[in-house]
Amino acid sequence: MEDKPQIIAYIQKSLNFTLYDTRWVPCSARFVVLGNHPRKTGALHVYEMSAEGDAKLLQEVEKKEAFRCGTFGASNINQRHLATGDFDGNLRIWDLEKIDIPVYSASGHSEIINCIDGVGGLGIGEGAPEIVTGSRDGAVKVWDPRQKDDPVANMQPAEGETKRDCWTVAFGHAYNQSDRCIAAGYDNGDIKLFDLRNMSLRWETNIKNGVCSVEFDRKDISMNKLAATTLESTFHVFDMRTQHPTKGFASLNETAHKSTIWLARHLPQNRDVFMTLGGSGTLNLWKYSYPEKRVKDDGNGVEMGVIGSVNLLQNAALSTQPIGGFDWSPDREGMCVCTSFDQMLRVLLVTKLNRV
Amino acid sequence: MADKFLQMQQQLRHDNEDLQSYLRDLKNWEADIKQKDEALRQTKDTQDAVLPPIRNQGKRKPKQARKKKPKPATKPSQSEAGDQNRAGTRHSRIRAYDYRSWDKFDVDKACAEVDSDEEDEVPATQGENGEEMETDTDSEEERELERQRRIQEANMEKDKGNALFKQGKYEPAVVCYTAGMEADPTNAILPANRAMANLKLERFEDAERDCDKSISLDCTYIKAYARRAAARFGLGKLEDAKKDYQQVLNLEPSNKQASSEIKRIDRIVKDKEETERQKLDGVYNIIQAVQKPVHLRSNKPLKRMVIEEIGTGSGGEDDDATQTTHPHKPQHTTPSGRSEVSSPAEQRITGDCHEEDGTKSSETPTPVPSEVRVPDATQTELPPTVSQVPSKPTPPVDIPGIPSSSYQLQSDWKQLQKFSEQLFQYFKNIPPQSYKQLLQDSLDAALLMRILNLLKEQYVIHSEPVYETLAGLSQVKRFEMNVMFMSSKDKQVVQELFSYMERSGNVGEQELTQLRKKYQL
Repeated sequence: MEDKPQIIAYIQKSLNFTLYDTRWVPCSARFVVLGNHPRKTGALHVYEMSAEGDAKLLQEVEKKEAFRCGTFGASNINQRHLATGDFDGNLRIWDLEKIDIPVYSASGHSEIINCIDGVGGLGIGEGAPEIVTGSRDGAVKVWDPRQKDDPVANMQPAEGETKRDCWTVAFGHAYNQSDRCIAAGYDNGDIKLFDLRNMSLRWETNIKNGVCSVEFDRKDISMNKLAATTLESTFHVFDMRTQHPTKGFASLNETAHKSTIWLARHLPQNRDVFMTLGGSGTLNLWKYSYPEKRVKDDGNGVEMGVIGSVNLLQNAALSTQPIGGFDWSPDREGMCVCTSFDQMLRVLLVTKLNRV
Repeated sequence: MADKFLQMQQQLRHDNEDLQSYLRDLKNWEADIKQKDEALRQTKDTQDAVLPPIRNQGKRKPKQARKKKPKPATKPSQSEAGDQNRAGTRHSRIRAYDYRSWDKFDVDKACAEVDSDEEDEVPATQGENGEEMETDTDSEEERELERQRRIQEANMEKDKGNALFKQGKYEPAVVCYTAGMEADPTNAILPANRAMANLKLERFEDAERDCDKSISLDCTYIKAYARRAAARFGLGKLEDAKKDYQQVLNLEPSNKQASSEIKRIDRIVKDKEETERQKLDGVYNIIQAVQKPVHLRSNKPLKRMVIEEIGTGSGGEDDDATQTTHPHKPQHTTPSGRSEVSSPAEQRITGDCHEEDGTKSSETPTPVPSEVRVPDATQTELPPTVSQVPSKPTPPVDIPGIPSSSYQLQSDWKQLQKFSEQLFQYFKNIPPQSYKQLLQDSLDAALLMRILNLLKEQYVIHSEPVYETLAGLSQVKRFEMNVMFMSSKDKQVVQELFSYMERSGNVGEQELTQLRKKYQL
């Protein structure tokens, strides 16, 4: 009872454009907010936490294409370049110091890029810096900022197959130079796990409901857990350590929020704590507990995973509108920034996370 | 109840304390992180430049991989360094506790590698001196390396091209030079060499252009001037050619070739003037058009005659042995060796006629255009309109070969247009796929209609398939525009062709519909 973390809205700011995504600039008290203006142009704001308990607007940029998502994941810590996906299917990489022209630009998809993730930068994940984008055109493409114009890997439905809208992608399993996986979630409830080392589809499942968000608890370790949230108020947690040849990965599902669960984000400082963000402006903080034994025999001498359990640590209602963007500060435990569709930007503090 | 209330109060107090301490920490953290942030913003160096290779690069870019292959031969030191770099990272990843790997670690080899790695060390030490400088020098160095690589590549292509040129393989040599020019656009030698190959291939215009380029890169490059002069000579631009040779002499007064060429050009120009004058004289001397009023003209029936070519314009009236009359040779067929005959095709035709006339003129049934009627064998009068005669030569028995340009096609066509049978044979020989290339953008409404009419008149008679031809035409540039301006009469011709195709039934329904669309029916 006593050690229950508190979720406190520390800073609230009302902005004049639609907010889609927000990201902390690594190793700083700054964060980037991405969205689009009513006139369909892209908005990029950079804020900094100030000593007075306020967020100070440092930079304000308007670009031609409306931003949908962004990541710093593939950037060198010294450069801290922001990769963005926009409504026209362009992948751009920006130097925040010289924001005028992108340092990298590729028209990657024929339709909106819904989601983006990066790995190999910031000292997170072994191997080459890579960006993955998922789009409404059904394709999931992997980019290396060193290779112009063309993706280094392209995963799209074969000719003739129906193209599903890819809503979410996430890197994981990047624990050595060659291993790397991508999890992708689609509007029909498909989750696909692509193995980039073998360039093959490693595993797929359907959770019967549009997949709004997938995230590995860590990108840079041998796959441990994967959280997936759905359109209709359930989320799933998969134990990714043990893959059974027929049963796949062990999983649990949990109902929460009574609405679409837009996002699940793992705490960078503790991989077993994660926040889910609901369509009704609510936040739920969860803790995953491992079972006593993570592996068991399926009766035929083949190992299969055992799933643990999740408990709700805290919940809070901040808004009446969905929270579409959320990012934990990688540098400060318990601090996070979130954006909701009522054009509100919030910096939240979650206390006592070190004691959960 | 009171207990619970107290508990709650205590909880609130605790929470508040927690939050306060969190906020205090936050302030400190903010100050801290801002310093770090600022430091990072200042240092713009990229420490770990050694990254794993780009995924699937070999598969995705086979072209690049192929290009890179020959590099080790020319610059072994560089690629080796790269390899060692990668090897270095692999070694550096051996962990302290990984004894087995350390057992396998070859110290001597590693030392040797470090020694040979000096190149890479240099920028690193520079970076220590001025961290801000490093990215600049790095990228500059990269650019410099890239430039060097391209120059190397260009030189390699040049050598390859030269070797091919020596073997007489001009076409592949041109390809090599082109690749070289792409690699290093600043090299003046490559375009000049390509010009030489083009000269050998008798592509004078290309050669001239290449020389222009070469000269623009190096205005003292004598060979480029000399080759441009040769190209211009080939194109008949004698004045320009002479200027170029003079430029060669300016740059190198002892150049014998240039001076002899200038002399040659002068001679040719003089000759030309001479013949020009002769021609003019000839016109005044020979052509005596006589206009007679109708009532004074002979009433005798007109007689068919065979037109024979004769070597010079000297009187053919005396030559009555064959019972045919030779009207005075019209001006432009007279001197056979003259240079101003307008096109090779024409030249060929007249040449053929010579041969035919010389050997078996009596046997060949040569249909004479009905308009050419000479009143009497004895009459020395000329037909009223002399200029008409040359445009109606005897039908060529040899059909000209496949034309290589639209100009040639047009002039061949002009030659053949009265002899639709030959024209049909001639046009049939041109592969429809080549129309686009052949006609480029010189397709006009008149030509298009001429072709379509030929199709209608001849192909249909010979039940020759016309689909290919029509499809080929539809690929030609400006085709659509010409179709757009077709008159209803023209459209009717097309319509007839389509109904012919339908009747013959060789063509699929779908293709036909598609083609119909192109012809806007």
